[in-house]
Amino acid sequence: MTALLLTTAVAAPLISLVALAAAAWLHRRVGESLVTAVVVGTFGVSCAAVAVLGARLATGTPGGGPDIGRWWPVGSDPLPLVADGASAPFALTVGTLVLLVALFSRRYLHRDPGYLRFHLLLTGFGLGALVVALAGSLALAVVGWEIAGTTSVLLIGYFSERRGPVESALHVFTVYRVADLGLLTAVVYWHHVTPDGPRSVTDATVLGAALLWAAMGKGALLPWCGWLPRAMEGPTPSSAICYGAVSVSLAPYLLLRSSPAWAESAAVGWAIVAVGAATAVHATVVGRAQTDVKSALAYASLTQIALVTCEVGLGWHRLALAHLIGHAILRGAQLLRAPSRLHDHQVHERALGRPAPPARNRAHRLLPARTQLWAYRYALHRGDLDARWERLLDHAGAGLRSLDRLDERWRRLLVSRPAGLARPVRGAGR
Amino acid sequence: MSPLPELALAAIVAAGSAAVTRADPRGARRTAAGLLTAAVVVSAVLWTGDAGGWPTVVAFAVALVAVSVAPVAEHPSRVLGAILQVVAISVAAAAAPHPATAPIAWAALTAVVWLRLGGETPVRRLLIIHHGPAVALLAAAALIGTRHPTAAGALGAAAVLLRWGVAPGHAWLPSLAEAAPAGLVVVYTVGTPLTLLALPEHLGAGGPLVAGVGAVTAMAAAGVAAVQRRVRRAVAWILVSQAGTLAIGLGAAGPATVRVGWCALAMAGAGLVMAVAAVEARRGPLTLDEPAGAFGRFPRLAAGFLVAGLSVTAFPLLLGFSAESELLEATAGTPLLWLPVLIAAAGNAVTVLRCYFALSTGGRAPGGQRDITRLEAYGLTVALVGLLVGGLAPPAHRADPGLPPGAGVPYR
Repeated sequence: MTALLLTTAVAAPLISLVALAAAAWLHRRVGESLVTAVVVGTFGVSCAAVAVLGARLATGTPGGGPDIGRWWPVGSDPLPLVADGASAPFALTVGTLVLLVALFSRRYLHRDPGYLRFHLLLTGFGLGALVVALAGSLALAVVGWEIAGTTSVLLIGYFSERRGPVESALHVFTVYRVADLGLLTAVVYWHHVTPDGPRSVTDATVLGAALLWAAMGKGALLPWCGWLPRAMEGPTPSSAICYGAVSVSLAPYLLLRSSPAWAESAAVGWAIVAVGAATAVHATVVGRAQTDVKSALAYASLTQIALVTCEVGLGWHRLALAHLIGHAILRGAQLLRAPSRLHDHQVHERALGRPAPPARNRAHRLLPARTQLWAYRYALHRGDLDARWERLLDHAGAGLRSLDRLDERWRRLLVSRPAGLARPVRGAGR
Repeated sequence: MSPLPELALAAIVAAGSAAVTRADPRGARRTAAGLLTAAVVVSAVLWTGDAGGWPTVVAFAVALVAVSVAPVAEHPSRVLGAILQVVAISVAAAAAPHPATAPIAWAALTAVVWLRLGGETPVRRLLIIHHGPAVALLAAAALIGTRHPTAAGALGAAAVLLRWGVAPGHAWLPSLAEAAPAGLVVVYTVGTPLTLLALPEHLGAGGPLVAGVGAVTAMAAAGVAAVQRRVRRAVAWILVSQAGTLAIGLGAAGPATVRVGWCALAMAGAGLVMAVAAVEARRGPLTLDEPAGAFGRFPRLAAGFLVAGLSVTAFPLLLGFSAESELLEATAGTPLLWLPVLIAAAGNAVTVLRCYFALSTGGRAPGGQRDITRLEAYGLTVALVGLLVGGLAPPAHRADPGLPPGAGVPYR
């Protein structure tokens, strides 16, 4: 029964994804209501399956799942799905949020030419996130991680007729790919160097460092914070599900689930806490100077994700999970409400019968005046992280262009004739 | 599969190339696609499950993608005929694995492409500079094969590296990709299973050297691809990077891993190169500086490119992921080999997405360009189905994954 429920939770979005992709590829006109019904129905089924699993877990039924095969896995290990006290609630949150976003998008994207494409990508993202949530092995988590990452990037570049979203999508994708090297390294290391689990503190440190690297990219932790506000260029529903609620949450969730691998290494634990704490301070400072609601919410989201990361590093796993789920639900709702913020404000003022009082936040006054000024500049420039990243990419690009020029010289050398054999060029001297 | 049906299929395709060359461009395209569809179906039906048989199916499928998506302006009838000739020679040579077959077929293939290059003198020169020695090395390997197997293996490996375009013998590949018709580029560079014939079983002490050269090529080419300005050239460098990955497999794992990698590269490379050619036929040469595509106008071309590109970068559920997993498994004990594989995949992924956005970013209704044709859609569908089925199906050459009980480590 457990195996059937776990398979259903993952297979339902996979089947819908294939069906929607086939409809899009065959250029079939599919009505908006049918698309919404498919996506909502799919994630409804997934949520129901996970909810039943959760209920069975509560009554003491073990949640060990099915081995879904040995499908080209690294190291030929099985690829199990698992329902337990952490994966079931997180998967239920993911499924519910995707379902709600699909319902919200029915009106938000009404008559949009990319309606089917959006829902196709949303289904892909939901599938990837569910696989990460329910994965019982790191190799299977990678599958979901890659699917969720790529679909979320394509959602950022959804408005492909404008350059801004496309450039932002490419920026985010570059960060993801650099960070994903950590996850892939961890998978190979785990399954080959330490096939029975970490044997020494060194193993645990290597694994933990690789996993932390992966989490830093996906969770927009320092020094990768710069991409999160850029990721808000996509449609609001996708920003809500990806960068307010679920996608950034996958980072601390990965660290939480893989904690047995690095728990022996105190250095990794403290490194996670340090990265989380530094990110929380950075995000809370920068968030105060943001002038648009989506960026402000992005930094608010980042602050909480960083705090959850600290909790994971300190070993407070139950608190971290509760914090993660609570934050995902709250931030998703806030981002979905963001486009109506002005309208809400007007309604609020009409109800008050006078202008609403400005938000008062005087915590910064505790700082000395010069520090306040420095902090303001720092916040305005978002810590110059984006500029530093761009400079790094420029340097790397310059090096690679030198290599390209060298190659071009090599090619010219190969095609040039020895001087004695040179033919006269036709028409030369005319 | 017995060699006789393959030889018969190759003969039919070769005979068909004469008819295709004489037909009008559109009729030639339809005839070639029909012929190759029949060849794919027959070779798939005849395939008995042995590891040696399925590269034939893939070779025909790649040629089918090439002729179906080939833009008319760039591919007159005689080019389509040349594509059929190339695939017929490759399959015939692969079916009759006599040591002398490979160098003769190799020389014949190069001659077919060389003749179609016309006035492209520098590219012709590059082709001769690289493939002339490669054919000579292969012939030498065939001559001394039984008496000096180690030396023959080294010579064969050197020939194969040149043929794949592994650095420093790579200069011909980006130049050819820019100068030659896309369909011909596909069947000549990634679509021929001929190199699989010449794969040495044991490289001995040369294995690490081959794998090392492959690792450097994979990473450097992925980096150079990322800074290209023309989409065609960027895709060509991705192919060079993938050639490096194949070389890692050759040096560190063996022919079985290379066969999987070749299959993945052939199908994905066909989708990548042909999708770019189809968009360029509509919008002119594509650069990565200025977005010139239009997702709203031809989404299927952009989507086909993306899926093929993601397969090259080892995206889950696609054939490329299977191939990379095989390679990682084979090289797992040597971080100096598996790390370059991962780094190259990451670099290529960024390039693929850059190209995808160049193909798809732009106005929603540019007007003046035709939407994807039925034949193009058919060709791309073949490529995508191949990548998906290959990615989800279990590997043909691995009956038993050989997992010791309890070897997995829980993620939680």
